[in-house]
Amino acid sequence: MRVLFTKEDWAKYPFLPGASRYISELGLDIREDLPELPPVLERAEERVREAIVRGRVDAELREEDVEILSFPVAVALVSAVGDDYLTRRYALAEAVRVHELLVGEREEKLLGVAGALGWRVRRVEAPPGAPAYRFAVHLLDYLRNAVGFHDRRWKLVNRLVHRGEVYVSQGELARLLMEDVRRWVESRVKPEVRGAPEVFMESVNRIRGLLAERRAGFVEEVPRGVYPECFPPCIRSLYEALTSKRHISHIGRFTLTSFLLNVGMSPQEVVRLFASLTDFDERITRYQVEHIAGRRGSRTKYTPPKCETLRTHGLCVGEDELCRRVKHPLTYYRRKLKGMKRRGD
Amino acid sequence: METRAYLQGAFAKFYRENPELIQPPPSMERREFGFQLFRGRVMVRHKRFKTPGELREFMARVGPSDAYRSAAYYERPDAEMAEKGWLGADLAFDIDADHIETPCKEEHDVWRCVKCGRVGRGPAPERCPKCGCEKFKVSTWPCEVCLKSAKEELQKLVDVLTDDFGFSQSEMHVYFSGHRGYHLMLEEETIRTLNQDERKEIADYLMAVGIDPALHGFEVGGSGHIRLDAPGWRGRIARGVYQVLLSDEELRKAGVRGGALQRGREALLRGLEEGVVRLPRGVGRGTWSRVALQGARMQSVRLDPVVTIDVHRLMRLEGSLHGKTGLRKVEVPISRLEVFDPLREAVAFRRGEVAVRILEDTVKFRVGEDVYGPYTAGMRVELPAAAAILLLCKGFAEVA
Repeated sequence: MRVLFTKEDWAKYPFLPGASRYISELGLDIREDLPELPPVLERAEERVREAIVRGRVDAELREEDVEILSFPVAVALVSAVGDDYLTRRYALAEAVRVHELLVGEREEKLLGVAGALGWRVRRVEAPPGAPAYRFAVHLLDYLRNAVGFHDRRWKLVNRLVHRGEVYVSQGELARLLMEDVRRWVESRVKPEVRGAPEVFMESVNRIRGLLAERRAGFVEEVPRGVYPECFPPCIRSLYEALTSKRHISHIGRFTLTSFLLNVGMSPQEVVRLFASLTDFDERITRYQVEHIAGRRGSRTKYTPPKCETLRTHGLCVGEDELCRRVKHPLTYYRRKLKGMKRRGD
Repeated sequence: METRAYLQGAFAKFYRENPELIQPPPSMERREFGFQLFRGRVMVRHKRFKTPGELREFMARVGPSDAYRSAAYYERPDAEMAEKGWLGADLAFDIDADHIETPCKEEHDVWRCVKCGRVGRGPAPERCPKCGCEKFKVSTWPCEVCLKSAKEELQKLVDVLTDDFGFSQSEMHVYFSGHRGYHLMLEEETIRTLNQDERKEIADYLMAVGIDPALHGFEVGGSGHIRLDAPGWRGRIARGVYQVLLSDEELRKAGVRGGALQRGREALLRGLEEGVVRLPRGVGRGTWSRVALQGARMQSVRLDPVVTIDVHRLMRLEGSLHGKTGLRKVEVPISRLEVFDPLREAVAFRRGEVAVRILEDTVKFRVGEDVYGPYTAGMRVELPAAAAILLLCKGFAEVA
């Protein structure tokens, strides 16, 4: 199905191929012409600032040309800053904006956007008993985007799957598209910005400053008595994924949380660590952490899975010398800690 | 003559005389090959072969007990794991009687404690009842009942892959593993780059892991529109619930004793047939959910999820001999699945007789058209090669 996009659509969805075609037809070289276009650079910087401060880019529509042109400039700004955390946060913030706009669209427009992103998706009649389903998404397009979602309604086994397609509602399609946009924006950020005009570099520096300011407030420190240098490779990798805002699977988060609780962090400290580094809802995070700590629900205090289980789930990132002699990540930590203390480090 | 040396010689000779039976996978130059050797039970990995001839020559020379190849494609298949350059992997499924409960395991599966030597039948216990040791030598048996139940699971797998995931049967390659199960390989290009998380979702779907029946309409106060022929898990749970309602034992497994559901069984069965389910008064959320979960369990595919999820997995090489049986891994066209007889069609050694001495009591077993045994320890028997090699591979006998 072909949908004709308007200039307004490109302003809303600047990742559409038509938007970049529009820019090249204008004959503008963004780098070269930037000093002549203050509103574009302003809006671009604002996009990034909004991402840092509020976690979402404002969806209000301004002048279309400014909206269309400021998006690639904002991506260039983020590239120039060269910070993983910012990249992820910015991509998410642009995706949140797109989601906000998508939920207000008609079905044809959603189909058009999905099609432009290369999805195989079609409109369907709702099957009996499941009146909310409006679209059938190709299995692989669904999996690629839904696999990171945690709510069990997104789990493939809880979906209507038929002949290679997964049935979703309009709201769900918008949410899946948002995830694709997030990954797409993230992939556009590339650390190569050369010959940028001075106004651009000034903007980059202001963003760096804002980022550092925000960073100072973060609790990235592990409390006393916990030694990250003694973490086994699997936990270290999860910990790094958390601090750089990479996606961690459910079992990964469980492993990390139960590990931290078992090496002496309090539930409160774990919650603070998660909340400061991620967009997790603090209330839900607290509930889950306390559950693992044995303060809720079944009152079982959980320990992290053993090495063999971690391997099964692909969380083992490769063994080091000590790994070969232990079967459990906690054993690793205790042995390494003992060795370190003996050496008097 | 030592049994292992004999088997190595027999396997090597078989490969020498039947090189064309070894079937390299597509894009063989991108695959890692691995071999288990009879001598020292060593595993050789990270091998690469560019032509079928090279591979066949190697196997004829070495006579490995087991031959494997990666489901994955690599830039450098012969490099160390971290250096290989993963390009993608076929989607693999493994159905093995080890993962299915069959009653006959009590008769033919044997375990022996490595510490105190205690022997028992059926699946090995967690700890040895005599010495508490946790290590056992286990000997399983490719019996007809087990093989048949594995085939039923395979059929379920094929159905889900076709009806739900939309793969065509021409894209599926099904193999008898040479021991107690079946492999199914999907080599379609679009699915090669699925990552582990995505593959896990597929495995979970097949095994009904994490399923929530309420999200498929099995909830108190739902619309009640539940048809037996509904697509996906909705219909599958409905069919499973139908089965559960027909069986006292399954109801017991679901934790239902007497009560409202028991009295309303007939009405529920009729409701499912008509596609509109009204829950009998007094059936609570917990009961209905347990019945639905039991139904889902009955319809789920019992497969080994690790094989599907692991993107670096080595799979047994097509056409090669299985070191635990001397049977071959052979392809089974899906259209012939129903009539396929693994104990006849996978037989490799079809000529000659071998004298063996029985080490361990055996069950009665069939190879090809003939039935053998049971034999008792200490006997010396002369058997057709296929039957003798099966006993030798299993460790139930030694070369006499």
